[in-house]
Amino acid sequence: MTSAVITWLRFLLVLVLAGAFLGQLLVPVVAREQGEIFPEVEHLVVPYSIAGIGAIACVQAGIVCVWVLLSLIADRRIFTPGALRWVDAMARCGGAAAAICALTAGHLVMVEGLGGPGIVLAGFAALVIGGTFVLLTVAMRGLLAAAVADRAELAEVI
Amino acid sequence: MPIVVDIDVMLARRKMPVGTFASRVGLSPANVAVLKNGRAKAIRFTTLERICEVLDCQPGDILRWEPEDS
Repeated sequence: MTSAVITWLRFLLVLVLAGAFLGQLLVPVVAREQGEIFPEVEHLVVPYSIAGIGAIACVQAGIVCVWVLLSLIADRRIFTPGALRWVDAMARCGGAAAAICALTAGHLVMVEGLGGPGIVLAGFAALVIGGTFVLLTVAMRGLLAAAVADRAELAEVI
Repeated sequence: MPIVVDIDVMLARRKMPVGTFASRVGLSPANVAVLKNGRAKAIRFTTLERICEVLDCQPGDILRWEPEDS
């Protein structure tokens, strides 16, 4: 992969990280506003703010994993067993973020009995998108593991 | 290893030092040691070709099969 691609991707990842950080700042503000408009959800402001910040933190951790993987690509060390750990971590981060979104939506609808079809849809969307991301990453991890094994075998050819 | 690499025998016949052999074939001394010690797991045909060229021999002169239990 060319270094230009890695450099541009890193630039975009920094933008995404900055956007995610801004989102973390906005979550409690939006939650408090909602709590003021709808007093019946006021007790949810703090826990849902924590959930929102936590979900975004998972995304940020996933981006850090992508950053490390890009460094491994740049150093031509991507086909080493250590790279698999970072792919695992990335999949876990994505899964955790999706799980937090789905659980929060589920809690709002089923436990609190609030929210409309939009929240139900959002919860299912988080499950479907998160599940797709995790399974796709697991499939790609399998490819990487096969490439690591091939590279190790090829290194023994004289 | 059932496949034996007889490079040291051919080197002795050709009276060629290992360092000269390594540089003429284009192998690292470490890889020549791997070949000589019988720890090699695979060899490229291009490497084999250069070895045959440098030692002026056939692949059969440097590769030998021994039954596993011997």
